[in-house]
Amino acid sequence: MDRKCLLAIGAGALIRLVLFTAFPSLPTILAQRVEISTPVTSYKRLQEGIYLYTHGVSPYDGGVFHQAPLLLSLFSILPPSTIVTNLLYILADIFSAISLIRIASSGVPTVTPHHVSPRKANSWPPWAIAAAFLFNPFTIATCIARPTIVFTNTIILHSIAAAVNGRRGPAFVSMAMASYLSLYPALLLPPLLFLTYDSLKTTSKPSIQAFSAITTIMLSIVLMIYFKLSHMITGSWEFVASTYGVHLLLPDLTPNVGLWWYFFIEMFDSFRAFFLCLFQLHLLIYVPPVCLRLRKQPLFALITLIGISSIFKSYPAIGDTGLYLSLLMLYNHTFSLMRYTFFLAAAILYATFLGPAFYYLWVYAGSGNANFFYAITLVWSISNALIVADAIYAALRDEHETERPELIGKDVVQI
Amino acid sequence: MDKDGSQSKLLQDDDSILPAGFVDKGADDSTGDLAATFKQPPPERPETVRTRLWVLLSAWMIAIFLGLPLWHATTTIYRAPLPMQEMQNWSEGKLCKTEFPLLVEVEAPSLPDAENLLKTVQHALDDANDFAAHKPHHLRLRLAAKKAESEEDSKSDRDENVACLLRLIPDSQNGYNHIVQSSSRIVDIHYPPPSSSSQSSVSAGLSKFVAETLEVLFRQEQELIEHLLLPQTSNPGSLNAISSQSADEGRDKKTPPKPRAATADITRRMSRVVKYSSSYHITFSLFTATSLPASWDIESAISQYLTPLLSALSPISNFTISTQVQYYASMSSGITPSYDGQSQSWTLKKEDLSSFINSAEWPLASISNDPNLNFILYIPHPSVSPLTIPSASHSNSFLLPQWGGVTILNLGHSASGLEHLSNPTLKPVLETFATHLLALLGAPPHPASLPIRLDSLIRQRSAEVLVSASSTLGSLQRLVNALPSISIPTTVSDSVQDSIRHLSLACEELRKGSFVKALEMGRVAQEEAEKAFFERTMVAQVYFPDEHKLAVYLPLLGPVSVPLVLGVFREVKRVIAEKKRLRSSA
Repeated sequence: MDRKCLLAIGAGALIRLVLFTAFPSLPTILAQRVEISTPVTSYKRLQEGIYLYTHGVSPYDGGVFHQAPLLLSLFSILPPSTIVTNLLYILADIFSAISLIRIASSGVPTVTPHHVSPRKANSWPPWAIAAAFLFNPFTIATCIARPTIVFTNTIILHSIAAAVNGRRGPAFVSMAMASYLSLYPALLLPPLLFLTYDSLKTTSKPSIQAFSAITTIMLSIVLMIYFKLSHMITGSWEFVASTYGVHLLLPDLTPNVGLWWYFFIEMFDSFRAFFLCLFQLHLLIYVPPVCLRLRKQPLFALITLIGISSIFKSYPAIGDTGLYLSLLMLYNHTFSLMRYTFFLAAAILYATFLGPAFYYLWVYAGSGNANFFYAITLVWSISNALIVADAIYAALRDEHETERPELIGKDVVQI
Repeated sequence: MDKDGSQSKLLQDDDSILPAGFVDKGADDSTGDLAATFKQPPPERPETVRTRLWVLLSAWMIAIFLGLPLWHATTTIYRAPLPMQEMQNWSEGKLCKTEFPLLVEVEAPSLPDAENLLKTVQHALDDANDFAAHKPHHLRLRLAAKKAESEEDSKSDRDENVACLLRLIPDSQNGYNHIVQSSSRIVDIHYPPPSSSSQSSVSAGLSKFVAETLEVLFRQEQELIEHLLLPQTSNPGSLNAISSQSADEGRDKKTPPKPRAATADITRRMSRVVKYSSSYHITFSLFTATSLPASWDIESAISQYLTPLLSALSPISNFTISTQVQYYASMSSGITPSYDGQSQSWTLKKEDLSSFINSAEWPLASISNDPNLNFILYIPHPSVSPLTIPSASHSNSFLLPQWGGVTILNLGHSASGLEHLSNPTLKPVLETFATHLLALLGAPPHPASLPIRLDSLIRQRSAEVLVSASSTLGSLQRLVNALPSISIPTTVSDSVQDSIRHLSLACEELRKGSFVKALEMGRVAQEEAEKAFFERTMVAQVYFPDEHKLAVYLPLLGPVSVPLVLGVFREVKRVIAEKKRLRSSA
């Protein structure tokens, strides 16, 4: 880690510290934003859960708290002061940045065993990627609002950092933890498997089948330990229904930036179960094709799945998009192949500014209605989906040009 | 890699036959004559093809092996099995031939050959019944065992079957006549004592008279129940109707045509009757136009004059009672009584009576879930007192169909007794209300004996609940048949089973002659049938025909499935092209 990296991290920590101390009411304001806090990550709900937990009541009573029990134990160990909590969140973001630096320095984004990008030289240095994460307004807002998604993101990044360095144990224990915390990272396990396998440093590689079998066993043991611990903490299995059940069945229809809430408000009751299954399946259906098609760049497959789930999961927030965009910076060298960069940047900005405005019009001013906000979430999701699609296009083009260097710079059409 | 424009222009495919710059510019708009120069894309690598196949396959696998079962599991409409045929049979009245066997005991201490007489009467009755085979009533006579009077009473109490007890009493003065006792089931029949010479003729006359008496006693009820069962038996699909049609041909002339007047009377009477329920709420209200009287002895009056009747009615329905007093209650504004100088009283017009109740101002809304019956005692303002209504009777009261009864009480101008309505003052009022109550519940006005009337009411109500439960089952069956898209939860099928079970039990009890039990069973059957019919979750599904499902599925599933389907098409096309090429090259 060079001086620039340290500088970036220091500046990132400082800006968060300043925001926390100079605007003491900012965390509360941001924590109430539906774009940042969702029912499954909200800091306010976490506090409610901790209060119930420390007073000997089941935290899941009352149906407000939907987060994993291990978070409860973490926060009940901490001294109950705002400064400590804030520092913990800043620390989590610093760890994320360090993980990103490690990923970038490993060179995996440009060089994999199957693929060497012809644009290798164009990629950003690690400090720039860390800075892109630390100064991303989505990330900063998420950190200040303190939803628990910050920890999930940190753990995902840590897992990827371990995977690109070929350290299987930490990679899968971390990803299991991320899945335990917010369920959808479980979709990242297959690409993580390929990524770890490709990055193994040992001289005699096991076959991919043996490798995945061993990893699966390890994963299930780790997950069982997590569940057993949670059971010990809360004293019942109630948490399964209250956390994963909420992710899967969407009982809380609080608006968010995702596509689910409006759809399921309008959905006929008799079709609710079917469309819940369909939406979950929709997320799942991307996993095998993306892994297979991007087999040469498993890290990119993983990032793409993060992007897809940040659009289509049941309770998305801008923190998910922040993670995806930060990770996408690792593929900065392919951006020159993207086709709609200006349009997408404009659309994201448009949605970012109009989203809060329309939410205000709907909920507080009363001069708009739910459709205002819903329309803006559609724009947001479409632009995110287009970013994912365009990034895939760029990455595939990059891959294609490795195979056929004579086609560099030419227009290609799909036939 | 520098992707400077000039350099990329130089890079081109090896098999190009045209100069470099030309291809680059003309590749897009070269058509027609340049078709020969259109470059074939380089052959795909086998691993690319394999990857694409795998991608397509994996997506289809998830769709088929996860999507389809989930679709099936979450959208299958659960239809619990219903005994459709049985339900239909019930609604058509095939399963239960409603009959009311009535046992009549005859006590003839002074008649030597009572047995013989009974046979003759029974024969006459059976003959009369034969004319209309579908008549539900079967009168059966039995000679009462000779016992002491007291024992007799207790026996008839125990044995519900006895519909009435005929006492044949020789009476030399009055000739043939019958006296119905108002508080028991005993009917006294007086007949001239036989002279020893004309034993047989007396017996014949007597038997004729007994048969006639029984006819008179039960005619009204019989007509009513026939009327109730009519929609059921006149169903063209019904066996009863067919059998009576085929049997009718020979008898047509003998069957007396049903008197129109009787039907009209029954319809009029039935239109007053409140819908049957297992419990009713009765509200007694004292509305006074001034502040007087301030109180009434309603509680003691009810317990004294009404409670016996209510307890007698308890096998049919239960009652809860509330009372209220309302001062300065004015009549509806549109009603102005006119002064009748002849009788020195104020009279209400007949058409005013229907709007007499000032529903805007009088607090008559019920708080109870049960059907409400209102009885109103109205004390008019002294300035319009005495207030009368145009009616033949002197009770000064009228009945509001399916709603309750009103009595107008004129207290006169004397100051005494104005503050408080005492128990004796209320006696005639409550008696009127009792009459109203019986009429509202549907008890036949005839004969005079209250027990016989109540028995008759029980039979009538049993018939009613049976018909209602059966027709509800029939409606449910038709509904389920007509709408294949509605779901049928298990609760509905349970209710239907329960209803059918209770229906057949009720039918059995009827045949045995224990009408109270039959009513009880029928009531359960009706309740269950209605519960099944009005099941909420079932109704929600009614408005969801199959065409709408397409509109629900397509907007999302259509676009999602396009890439999957197109992918398959493209692969199939490629495979076919490959085969063709192989064949042509071979």
